[in-house]
Amino acid sequence: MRLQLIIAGMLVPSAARAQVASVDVRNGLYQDTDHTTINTTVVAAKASPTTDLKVDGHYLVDIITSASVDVISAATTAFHETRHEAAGGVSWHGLSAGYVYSVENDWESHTASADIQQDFNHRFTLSLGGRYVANAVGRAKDPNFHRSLDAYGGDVGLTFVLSPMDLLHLSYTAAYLDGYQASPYRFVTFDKQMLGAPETDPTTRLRHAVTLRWNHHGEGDTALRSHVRVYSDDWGIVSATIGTEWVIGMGAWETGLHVRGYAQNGADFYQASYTQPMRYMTADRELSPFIDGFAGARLGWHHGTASFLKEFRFEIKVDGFGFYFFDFPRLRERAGVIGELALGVSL
Amino acid sequence: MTYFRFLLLALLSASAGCAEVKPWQRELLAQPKMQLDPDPNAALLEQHVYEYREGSTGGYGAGGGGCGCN
Repeated sequence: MRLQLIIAGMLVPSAARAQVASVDVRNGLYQDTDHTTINTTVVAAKASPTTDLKVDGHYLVDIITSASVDVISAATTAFHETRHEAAGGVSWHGLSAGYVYSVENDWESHTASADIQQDFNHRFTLSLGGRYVANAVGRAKDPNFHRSLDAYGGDVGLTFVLSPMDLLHLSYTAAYLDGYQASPYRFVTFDKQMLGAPETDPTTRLRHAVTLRWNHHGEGDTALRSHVRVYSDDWGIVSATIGTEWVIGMGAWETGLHVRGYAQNGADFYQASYTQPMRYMTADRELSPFIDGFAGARLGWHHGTASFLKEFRFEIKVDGFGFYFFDFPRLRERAGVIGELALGVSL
Repeated sequence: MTYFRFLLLALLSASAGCAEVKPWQRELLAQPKMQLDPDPNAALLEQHVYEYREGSTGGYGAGGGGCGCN
C-alpha cells in the first residue's frame, strides 16, 4: 500500500491530494467442502494530515468454525475461535514504518516493519523493506504449552514505467524463520493407522520468492493486471503462481474478472504415512504436493459529491476455488466459495 | 544464486526497454486500476486466504500479522 501511495504521488502532482481521509469496511465469508467457515471483517482508515505525511491503520477480526479433517484426525471435535488483528502505519517522504498485533486463543504475534522508496529520475522506483515477527504459540486447553517462532524478512522491489500504458514491478523477498513451526494439533500416522506421533518440523526455514507484476492499460477504459511468482525454500518446496485480472471501467462502475493458478511440490520430509519414526515428520497438507485454482469477478461503484463527504464507494466480489492434493489421502479435493462486500467513504 | 541471476537478467531487460515517460504522459498510469495495490483491504483478505492454505508466501507486499493457523 505504501508503494502504491508513493507511485500515486509521483504520477499525480496536485489534484488527487484533495482527499485527506478515508474509512473502509470489508467483510468476507469463506466456506469450503472441508467443513470450514471463516467470517472476516476489516475496518481500515487512512489520513493525510499534511501533503507528505500519511497515517493508516486497520482492525481485523476472523471468526473461524472448522471441523476439517485436520481437526477430526487430531481426535478433537469441531472448534470455534476468533482472531483479532490491529495495525498501524505512518509514511513520510518515502520512509514508512508499521506495526501489527494479532491474537487468538493459541497464538499471539507482533510484527514491526520499515520500508523506504526512492524514485530515480521518474524512470523507476526502488523500494527496500524489512520486517520482524515475534510469535508466541500455544495449545488450547494446555496452559503449559509455550513455543516461540521468530521471522526475519526483507524485500527489494523495482517499479518501472515502461510506457504511458505499462507498469512493471519486480520484487525479491527473503524470509528466515526460527522456532516452532509444527502444529500441536496434528499427528503423523504410521502404516496408515489413525493416530501416531506429534509433528516434528525443522525449527529453521529459509524462504525466497521472486514476483513479476505487469499492469497494462488496454483499449478504452480497460486494464490487464498480471503477475507471476516463483518460490522455493530449504524444506524442498518449489512453487509457481500465475494470475491475471481484466478490469473494465464503465463510468462510475468498474468490473474485474480474475483467475489465479498455483502448483507446488511437497516438502522433502513429507510423507502421507510414515513407516518408522524420522527426525522430521509432518501431516500438514500444505507441505504436500498439490495444485489449486481461483476464479471470480468483482463489481465496484463510486460516486463523488461536492459535500464534505467527497466519495462513496462499494464493491461486491465472488470467488470460487478448487484444490487437488496428489498425496494426502484424507482429503483429495477441496472446493469452496468466498464472497466479499466492501463499503467506503472519503472525507 | 539462480534467483539472483534471474533477478539481474529481468532487471537489465526491463531497464533496457525503459524509455522515459514524461509526467504529462502518465494520465492512464495514474488511474486506480493501474496501481499495484489499488485496494489494500482487498489485498489483505486475499493474501490471507492464500497464506493459510498454500505452502509458500511472500512476494506481494502484504505482510505482517501472525498466521495463527496452527
